[in-house]
Amino acid sequence: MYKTTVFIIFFLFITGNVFGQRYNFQQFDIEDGLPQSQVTAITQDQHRRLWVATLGGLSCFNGYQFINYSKTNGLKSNFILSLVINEHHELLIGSDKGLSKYLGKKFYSYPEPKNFVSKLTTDDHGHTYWISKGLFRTSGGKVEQLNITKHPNEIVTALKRDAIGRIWVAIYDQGLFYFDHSQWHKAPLDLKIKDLIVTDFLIDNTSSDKIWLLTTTGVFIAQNGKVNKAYPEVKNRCNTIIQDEKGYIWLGTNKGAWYITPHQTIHFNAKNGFTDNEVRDIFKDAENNIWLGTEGAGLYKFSNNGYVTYDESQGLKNNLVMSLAKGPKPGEVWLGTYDGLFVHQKNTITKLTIPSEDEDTKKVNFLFNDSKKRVWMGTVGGGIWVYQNEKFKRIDQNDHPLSCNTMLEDSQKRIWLSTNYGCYMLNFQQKKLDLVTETPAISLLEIGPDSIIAGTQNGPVWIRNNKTIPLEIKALKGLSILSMRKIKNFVFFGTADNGLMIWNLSNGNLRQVTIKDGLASDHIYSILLDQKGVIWVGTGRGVNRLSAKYFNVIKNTNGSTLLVECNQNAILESEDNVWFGTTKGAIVFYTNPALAVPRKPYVSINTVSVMSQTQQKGDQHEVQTIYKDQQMNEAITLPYNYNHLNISFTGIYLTNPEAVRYQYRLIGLDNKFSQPSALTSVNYNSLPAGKYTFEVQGVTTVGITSANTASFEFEIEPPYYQTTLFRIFIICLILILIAVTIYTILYLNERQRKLRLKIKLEEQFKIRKQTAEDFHDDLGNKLTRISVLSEVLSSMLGQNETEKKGIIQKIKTNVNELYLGTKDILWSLDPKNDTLNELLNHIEEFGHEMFNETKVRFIADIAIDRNEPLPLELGRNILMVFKEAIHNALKYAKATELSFTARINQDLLELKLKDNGQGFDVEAAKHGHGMNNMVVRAERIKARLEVLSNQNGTTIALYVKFSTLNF
Amino acid sequence: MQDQETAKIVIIEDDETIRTGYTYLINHTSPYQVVNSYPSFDAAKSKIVKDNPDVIILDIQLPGTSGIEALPQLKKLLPQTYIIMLTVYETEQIILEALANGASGYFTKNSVATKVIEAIKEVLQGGGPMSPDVAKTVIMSLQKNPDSPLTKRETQILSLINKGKDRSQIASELFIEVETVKTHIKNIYGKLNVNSKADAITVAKSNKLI
Repeated sequence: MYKTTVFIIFFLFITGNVFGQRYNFQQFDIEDGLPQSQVTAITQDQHRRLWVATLGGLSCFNGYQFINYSKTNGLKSNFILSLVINEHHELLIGSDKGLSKYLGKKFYSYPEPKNFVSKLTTDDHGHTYWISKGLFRTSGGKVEQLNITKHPNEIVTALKRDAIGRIWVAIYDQGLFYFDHSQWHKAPLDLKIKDLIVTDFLIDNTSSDKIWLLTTTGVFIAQNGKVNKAYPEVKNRCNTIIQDEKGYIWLGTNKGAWYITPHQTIHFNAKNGFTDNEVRDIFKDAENNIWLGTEGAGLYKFSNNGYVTYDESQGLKNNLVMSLAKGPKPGEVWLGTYDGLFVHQKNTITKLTIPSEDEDTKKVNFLFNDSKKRVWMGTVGGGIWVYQNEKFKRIDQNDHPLSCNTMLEDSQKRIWLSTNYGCYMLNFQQKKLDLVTETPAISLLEIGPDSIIAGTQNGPVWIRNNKTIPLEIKALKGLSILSMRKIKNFVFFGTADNGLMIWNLSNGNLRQVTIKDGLASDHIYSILLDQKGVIWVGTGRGVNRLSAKYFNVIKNTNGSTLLVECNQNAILESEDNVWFGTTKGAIVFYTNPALAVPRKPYVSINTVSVMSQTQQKGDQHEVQTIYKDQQMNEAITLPYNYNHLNISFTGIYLTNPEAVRYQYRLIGLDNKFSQPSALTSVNYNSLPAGKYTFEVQGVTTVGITSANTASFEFEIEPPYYQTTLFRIFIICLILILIAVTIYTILYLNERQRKLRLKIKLEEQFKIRKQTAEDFHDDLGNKLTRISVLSEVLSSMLGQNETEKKGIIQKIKTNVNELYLGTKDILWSLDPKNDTLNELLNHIEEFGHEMFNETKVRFIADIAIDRNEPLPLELGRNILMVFKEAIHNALKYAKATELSFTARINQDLLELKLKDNGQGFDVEAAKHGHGMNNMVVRAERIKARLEVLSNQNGTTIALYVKFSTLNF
Repeated sequence: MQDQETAKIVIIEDDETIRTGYTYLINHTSPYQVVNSYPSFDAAKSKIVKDNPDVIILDIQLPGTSGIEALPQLKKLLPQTYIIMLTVYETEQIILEALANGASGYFTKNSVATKVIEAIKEVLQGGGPMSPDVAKTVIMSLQKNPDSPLTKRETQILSLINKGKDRSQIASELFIEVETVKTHIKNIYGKLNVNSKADAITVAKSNKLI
């Protein structure tokens, strides 16, 4: 917020009321959705949801909204007294009518007990303990009442589980007992314990053997067995106690709560942001937020965000804190508002009265500390004042109205004033203002001796020798400079709309830091370097811290984003605090980096809806399947057409629910997380088949990633036509088709070729046959003519013309031989005779024919049956060999018996002609034409010819190798 | 019936030399008388009844009506006349056809004239003379069973099976489809009342079907 100042002089005096600071409590009550305002118990489930028990039902809180459950949802009673999460992450609910269990929207009520169940707790072994009319425990579904001390009137007043999981009980008039190694042990405490009614207790985690005891009469501490009253300021009846992450103690009493640290004890009540109502339960959530359940004021959250606020509720008359300065007394902070000046001292705010009746003097625009411990104050229309020697004094004149923006004391102790009329310097001797330059500056900064920069609406300028010269930095030209600060060798310019411009004086480089680098806003109203080396920046939308080394924005690990508009140059470091004047009061940050552990959101997937779109006669049917909680842990396999998914998720971040954004990815589709988005569901349409893992993580607006990444695995099965098996099948089918086609083509070609060959052969056969027949007819007739004619001639001759008759007989014999010879040729020409069978038959026939008209007995013994075609050459030669042999036998052997045998002996064809004639000299006969012919023919067909002859007969044997027979 | 010693012969033979040669030989070396000779049946048809021969020597290859075709006509014209075939043909089919049509003898032309004259004598005495090779052909053909239940195609296929050929080989050899071969084989099995190739061949061989 800009400020304008008018010069007026007044007197002032001090007065005021006492107020404290306001702590960061956030209240949730029925208007926020809580079913009822009496909160009795708080717990948190594994999904980080907060469960709140009230006397009007149960409520589940996810940071945004309360989901309420009552008797209509199956609860036994709405009067809920206690809550606990057991080791199976199940929520157990104790009410005035017994015990129930949450089953997800529905409740199961145990048949036993039927009485009230309070102080519910569980151990790690499946036992549930509670206090009803006595101490009870369930064990394997059975409810048993415990009597630890064996006293008949044992009264258990408190029940607690310690940090290591042991169950402790407080028994009135007996002391404290704990269950360990299946036995109850009495805690060694002195006798004072007997007089106390212990309402709750705490086994301290930080200090061994220290037990905090809450009683109806305040707090007691048992240290090493000795019980002593502690914190006497806590006078109220105490109800509940917890220890926070730092080991500090929170107490719930019947009037507000107490916060006990080694350094301070704070009573949270209506005066400092809490309530005066009774606190029934205090709970520390997983993010270390403290939740307080109150009687009649609902639920409170305490966030130690590292700051406190001073506003109208703490005594400031006006929330507009325009300026801050150190007071003249040690530890004092002065706050200038538009409704007067206030002083903060030891957590209390007091009003300072300015001795003037002019209301305008209450509009404090700026406060300024000079080196002489004077406090300067500029007001809007109320003049410029100085506080010195415990007195306010106006230094300007009524008749000279100046609008003053800022003040500066240079290294020569001169006081500079920037006004709407230009810059002035205070002249103490002559009590007047000397005009330095007429250029109006919004802020002033001294860089070195006689080197002042004035920040103007039109960029920074040098003020040298009463003249202004623009800075030689192009990037700063025309920028509206709101604030300036020299830190080490850098000048920080806070601009309007352009963020922070950091000018390196050593090398002249300029660097810009804006929203993109993490700033809350590009309007920078105030800059400060604290004692610990952190740069604080007040912006138009909150406060940022920068590291002084790298000038990078430091992430706010506690996750909170304080949305306030800072006021111009209203910034101050006092002791360990940095103060900001804002439009919503003064915000005080601790400069101690208190919170080390960042608070992280926790993300879980709520539901996964699977839809399929099936087309049926133009209608679109969406079939929906919803997977929840447990189902998502299992492997989910979806048919290929169920590939439209809607996944909804929730990030629970109780620290700052509004700051949660989501980043998700679907591994299998894209492996990069999406940009952070506030949407809590995502749709995936028409996913192709494959394995997927959906992952979602939370990320806060300041960049804190969630503690977990929620994931959900599923697989979309490929349609049958995309399966490997099917593809292989198709490929095989295609290959088979190709093979079949090729085979068919080849087969058809081959068949056609065979057909042609066959036709050709048939043709040849026909020609052979025709030739044979023609030859036969013609030659047969002609030979018959010669034969007949020679017979006629012979018959014409007389009986004594034997010589002529002999010649005619020879002619006749030759004709007959020729006739038979042609028959042989014809026989061989006939294709049907191309077999071994036919050949052998023919030889046999020939034999019969030859010896037909002789007295020689011709016997054929053929033990062969072969119908395979025989090469023409082979057949012809075999035939000729044996015809020759038969001829020879007929002519020369003078045998009475001739036998022709044919055998196949393994792979050898044996043909033998045997006679019982006179025999002949084989050697001599070899040179004879006939014999030689046989040898030559045998050689031609690679057969072996054996001729054995003696006086008992002749054997001619021909051995033909089977292989040459081509079988 | 004429006296056998002086039986009348008619020669039907297209070759003039052979015709006149045989006429001369029969007239001069035998007691028989060639009463007439014709170069074809067509030429003889109108006159042969008048000739009234006891024996006709008939060639097969004749211009116009062949000897085989002429046989039944001659038998009709001259039922009492013996006919001796004198031809160069000696295929089984022609021989059997000739015999079936009424030929009493069958000689090939290389037979010497004396054999033919002997044959005339033989037929006149009621015999059935033949050349040795013709006789053998006749005997062999008689060895085949004429009452085969199998058709010609089936016999053919069964013979091929006997030769060790498989269905596709048979199909390609006979230029028919494999399916047709199968059908034939099925019919063969049915007719022979067998169930296997080996049985079919055994039965066929024992019944002289192939």
